[in-house]
Amino acid sequence: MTEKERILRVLRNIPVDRAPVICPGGMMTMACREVMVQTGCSWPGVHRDAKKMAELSIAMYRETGLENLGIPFCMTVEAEALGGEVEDGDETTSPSMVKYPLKSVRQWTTLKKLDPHKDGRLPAILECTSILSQRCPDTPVIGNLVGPLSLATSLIDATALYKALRQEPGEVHGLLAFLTENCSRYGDALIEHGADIIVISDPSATGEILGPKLFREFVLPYLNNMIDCIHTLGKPVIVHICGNVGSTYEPLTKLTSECISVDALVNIKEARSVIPGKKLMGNVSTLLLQNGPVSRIQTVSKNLLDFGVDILAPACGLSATTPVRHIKAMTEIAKGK
Amino acid sequence: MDANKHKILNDLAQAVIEMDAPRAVKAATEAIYCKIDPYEIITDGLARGMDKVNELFEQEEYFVPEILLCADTMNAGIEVVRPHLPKENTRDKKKVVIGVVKGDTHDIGKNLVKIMLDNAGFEIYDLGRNVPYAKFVDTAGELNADLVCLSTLMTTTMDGMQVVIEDIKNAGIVSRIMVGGGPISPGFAKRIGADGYAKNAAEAVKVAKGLFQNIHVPLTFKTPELVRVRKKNS
Repeated sequence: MTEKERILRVLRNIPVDRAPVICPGGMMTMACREVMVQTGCSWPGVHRDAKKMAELSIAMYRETGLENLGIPFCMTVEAEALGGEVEDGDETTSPSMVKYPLKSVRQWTTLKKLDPHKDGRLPAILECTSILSQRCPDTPVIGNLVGPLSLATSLIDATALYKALRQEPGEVHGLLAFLTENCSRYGDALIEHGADIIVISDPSATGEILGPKLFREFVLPYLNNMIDCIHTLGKPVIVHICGNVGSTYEPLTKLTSECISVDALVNIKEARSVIPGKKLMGNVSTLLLQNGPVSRIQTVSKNLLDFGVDILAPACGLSATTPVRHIKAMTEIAKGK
Repeated sequence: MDANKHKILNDLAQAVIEMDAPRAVKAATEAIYCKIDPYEIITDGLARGMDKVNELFEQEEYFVPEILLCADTMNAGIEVVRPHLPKENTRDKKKVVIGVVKGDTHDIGKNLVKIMLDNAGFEIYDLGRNVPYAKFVDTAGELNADLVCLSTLMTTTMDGMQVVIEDIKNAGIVSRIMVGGGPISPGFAKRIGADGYAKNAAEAVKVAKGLFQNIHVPLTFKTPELVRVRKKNS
């Protein structure tokens, strides 16, 4: 069974020999300094170079034992393509937003329609997706999207957006519908270029920040809309939610994605019982992966598999300073080595 | 307390809880007109409402959007009262330098802590987000800051916190340090040498106040005695 077959079977609820182990990329960054040095494909240079990005991604896959290819190495590509200003960071800091295109939510009508083949780094990400899918046909290539509400917090100051949820709900709905439609089109393009699975990360949409009521009104419908668009192209979806999900368990069960990925704070045993019928991905602490020791990474990984995660993965983006041998400690447990 | 005063103060608290800024402004104006002591208007009216808001936050009745709007309402009320306050003596205020460590641009948590500490009487110097390490150290040194608050939401920038703390200590700056943010645990805070950890903005106020409770020497003076106190406490 190839790595691609295995994870696709998991997501289609078909029995497999063992749980896959992945790190999706995007917000859940899949890159280490160690591998950058080995390959000569380093941050920040790779962020705008499809070929180097592919080199680094493939090298990460080979060196760490992670069973996927995951690009980009940040969550700023959509926001940049929509007019935001990005700073590319340095060799261990990923790109981040430095200037928002919107001053108020009302201004969303000034946003230009997204063209995945023209705007910002999107063409480079599409090209890289093609390269990866052609060079590694047996390995799942993951296409990464940012959830509409989290993307909104990259287009306008988060404080202003959170206030607007209560003060100008109509405008926020307008913005979110616009983003959902445009980013779904980018999702389609990723799939056309060879992405096998789509992961949507929605870090700013956590129930911890919004509470269950606002989550239900401003997150759930847009995520489901996005997921349904991807499903029409026949690809499975994993949604990553940051923070503790305590008060949002109930609305999470309404997500239409095949799989939910959770943060390190979430108790997998509890999540397993409250979100039945959905695949769970998670949730090795990235701090543990960075600092070790190896023995603890092994124990935690083993426990997670015993508690019933369907896909073993880091709980968040890898720190670029994470040693390769620490990631291997996790991947080898999944592979039963 | 006469009934009218009682009613106005309650109205102020209620306006904050209900995020009703126009009502807070109206009630504050009425309070001034009725010659209620400006400090009372703030403490027994607006700030009392905010205390209740903190409680609601801790009970998971209110979340971040509500907190932001309640704080705006409180500030709208304070703006009405401000011209009537006696000239403020800022000398006793503890100086707080706050910012999100480089590599991270998520500043919602930091902004909440800033609002809460500001309302609790601290003097805030906000460095913003994605702040270079040296900026924390330089500002803390220049201001003789009493407290430095470091925040991050990303695991990838947690290392940076440790660097900042080490640099502050190596520079001989005696500011106390509080850390917080999504991925931070109390254990991590202790390990990197922070003096305090807060799991949310409401707790940040308690922790910040607690950090200065047992110290009787003014923190703005770098005395050997103070350094000893600090070592003993840590």
